Amino acid sequence: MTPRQLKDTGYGKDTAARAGERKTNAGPILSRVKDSGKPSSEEERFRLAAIVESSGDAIISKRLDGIITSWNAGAERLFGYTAEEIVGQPISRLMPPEHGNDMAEILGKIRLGQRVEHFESVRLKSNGEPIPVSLSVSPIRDDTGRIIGAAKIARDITEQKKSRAELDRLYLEAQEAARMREEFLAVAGHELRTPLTSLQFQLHTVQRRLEAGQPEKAAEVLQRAKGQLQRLTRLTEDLLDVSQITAGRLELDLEEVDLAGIVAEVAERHRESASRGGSLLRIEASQPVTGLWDRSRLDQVVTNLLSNAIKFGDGKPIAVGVEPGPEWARLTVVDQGIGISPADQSRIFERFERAVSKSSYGGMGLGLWITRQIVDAHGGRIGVVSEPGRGSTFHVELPRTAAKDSTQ
Amino acid sequence: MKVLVVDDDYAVLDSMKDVLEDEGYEVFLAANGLEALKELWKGTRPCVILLDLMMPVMNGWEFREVQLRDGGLAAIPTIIVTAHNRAEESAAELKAASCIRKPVRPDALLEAIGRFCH
Repeated sequence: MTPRQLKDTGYGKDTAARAGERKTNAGPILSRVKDSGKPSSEEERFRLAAIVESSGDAIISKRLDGIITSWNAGAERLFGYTAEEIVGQPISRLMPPEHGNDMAEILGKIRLGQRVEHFESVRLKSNGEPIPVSLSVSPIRDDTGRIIGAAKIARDITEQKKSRAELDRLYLEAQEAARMREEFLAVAGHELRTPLTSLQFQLHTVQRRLEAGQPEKAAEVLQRAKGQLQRLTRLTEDLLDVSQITAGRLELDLEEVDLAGIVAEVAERHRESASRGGSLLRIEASQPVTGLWDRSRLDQVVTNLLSNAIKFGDGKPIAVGVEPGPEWARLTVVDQGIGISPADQSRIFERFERAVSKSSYGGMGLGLWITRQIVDAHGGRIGVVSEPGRGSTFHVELPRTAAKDSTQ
Repeated sequence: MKVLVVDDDYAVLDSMKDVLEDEGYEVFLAANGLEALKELWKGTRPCVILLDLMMPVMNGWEFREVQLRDGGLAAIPTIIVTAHNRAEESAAELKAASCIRKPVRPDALLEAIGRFCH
């Protein structure tokens, strides 16, 4: 049966309707075949036409000159032309100009008696919309074996393309995540090695001084060693915070807390490192500013902002202020150091981000990210105003009473 | 015998100073490459420089560039002491006398210094 016959014998549009009936009721056709033992040629033709018509794919036949000779219901659905509109028309009506060479290539193979399988290309719908398709094309021969045309199955691969693009995107994302994790591990290793070095030297000195009968001088160093132990603890806690925050498990232990008191404590702990860096530390928090907050998390916020101010403060004065409002408390940390460019200001609160060169400044790129997460968990806001070479002002606003809601 | 320690971490500077002073060295501290150059330009001539790489103001790479160009300073043996992951490669690039990766064992550091300061 040639496609032309399919059309001529009326298995065009009409058959689509009949095949449609049988699509849900294939039983009678099969039993008819069974009853007679061997299907008659008319039955065979009917059965094949029904299969063609009920196919979800577009099945089209064309002559070697490209004139369409048959067009099933799947082709109507896919391309939007009815069989009456398109049969007798050139197949080039479906071709986008940029894919014009496809047809010559396919017909070339067909003329040589070859099949084309799963050839991915683009065709045009009747409304001009391009549609990605996978094409399988086979030669049609007459009774003498001469090639007289081609039968083509076109499948809509829009969804396939989308899921492939989605897979590509996911793959790139996974690669990027792996790269960031590698880089983070390298940076974290670097950060842990520095206090470990100090600790090793300090313990060495303690031992030597004890052996030399100088317990007072050993005790001085031991005190400093405790400082390094605290630093290592903080780094380890930062690492734990990353996994907690990432897993959405940052929990707040709320109590009545005085923010001004916390600022005073943190400032005291940083006074020495600020003065060694050359920065004068000024605290502007004369009265208690209380709220329902997590004490140790707020300590972390103030510590991160103040240690950044010292690190990037270029040895210039630093001011930390706390202001009470009726509903909000405001914390500001102002330095006059190297500052942050406008482009970097938006990314410094992201994980593993830093605005400075790694060859100049250490750090895991976590401090501001953790700080923002803590502020967010309290229902607060954090922001920065900065100018390169002029310094940075970080400000945090915390609701004094609404924090309870944010823990739920 | 003088040793110049260059590191931006004050805890590292202090702890190395304690160990080295207890061993009888005279220790000079610098928080970055520029401070180290200022110390050297004042005329301090250590038997060895212990140099960190990642530092603000002037990092270890920049310091070495200036040091190697300065005829009076180029010959001072310099040991790279760093937590940098590519420590050995960096030391080779910088033509350093030796390279020690943090965390440093005090004995290993003293032994390395001992090779240059007799």
